[in-house]
Amino acid sequence: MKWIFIEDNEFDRDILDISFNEIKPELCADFSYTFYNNGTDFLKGLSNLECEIVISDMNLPDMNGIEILKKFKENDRLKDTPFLLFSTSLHQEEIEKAYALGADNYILKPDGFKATCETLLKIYSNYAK
Amino acid sequence: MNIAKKICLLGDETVGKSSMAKRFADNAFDDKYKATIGVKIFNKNLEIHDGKSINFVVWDIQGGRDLISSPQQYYRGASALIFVCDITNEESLKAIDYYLGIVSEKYPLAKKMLLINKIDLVKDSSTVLSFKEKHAPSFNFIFSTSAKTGKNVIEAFTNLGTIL
Repeated sequence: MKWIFIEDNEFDRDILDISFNEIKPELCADFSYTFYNNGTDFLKGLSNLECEIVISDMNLPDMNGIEILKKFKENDRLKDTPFLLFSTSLHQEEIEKAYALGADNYILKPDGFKATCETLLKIYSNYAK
Repeated sequence: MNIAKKICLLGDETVGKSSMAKRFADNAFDDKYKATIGVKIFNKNLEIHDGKSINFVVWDIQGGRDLISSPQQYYRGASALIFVCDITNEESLKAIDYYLGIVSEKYPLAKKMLLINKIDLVKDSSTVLSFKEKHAPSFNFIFSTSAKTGKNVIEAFTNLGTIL
């Protein structure tokens, strides 16, 4: 099972790394994840992309998570792959737009290591087949 | 007059918060359980009385006790908090006291309604009655509901609307 994170913030990537290391015993043996720094690089590789879940930060240097989501869901091969958004804020219009475009979850970015572990495990148990 | 009000659902996992929101907003029910992670928003306009209608902006927030006690902002600005419990799940009934304690401290101005859900699964109503009596002083409204059949769902929101 492969997850993809689109996350530019180095600190947040470190937290994710540490959290995945902590919860590793609860994940399937073939679990892996990859980071992209920005939306442009991620979208460039869409035609060959193989993954089970995409989790994108809302605020990226080149575009926001909703723009990435829109382009991702336009891809016929990938449109049924779960796409989750992590955000540091909760704006009603933004949340509604995300779901209207096919987002599977809109999540306030977990605050700290413990909350990150819990959130990742929730996502895993919801989507692991 | 149409006013928008943010309403948040809270309660343990699997008590039926998402089903409640879906029943209210879309008059639909899905038997398949999928845990909510993060938040989803449902909208519905409801006429309350004398031409007053409310746009209920219902925030269906992931279940469990972590978020309500965390400093995160899911519940901020809510006009009302709807506590949901499952009458067949004793832990979810006990959890209401926990949620009440946090809410009273952090969101003292929000109106509070309790929905005792999955009432369609109960034959003996004595548990429901005693639970209602116990909690009556703490809530503006208490309803026994079934998101599955739709029982009392619109009635509950309509009543809540009268005090928003």
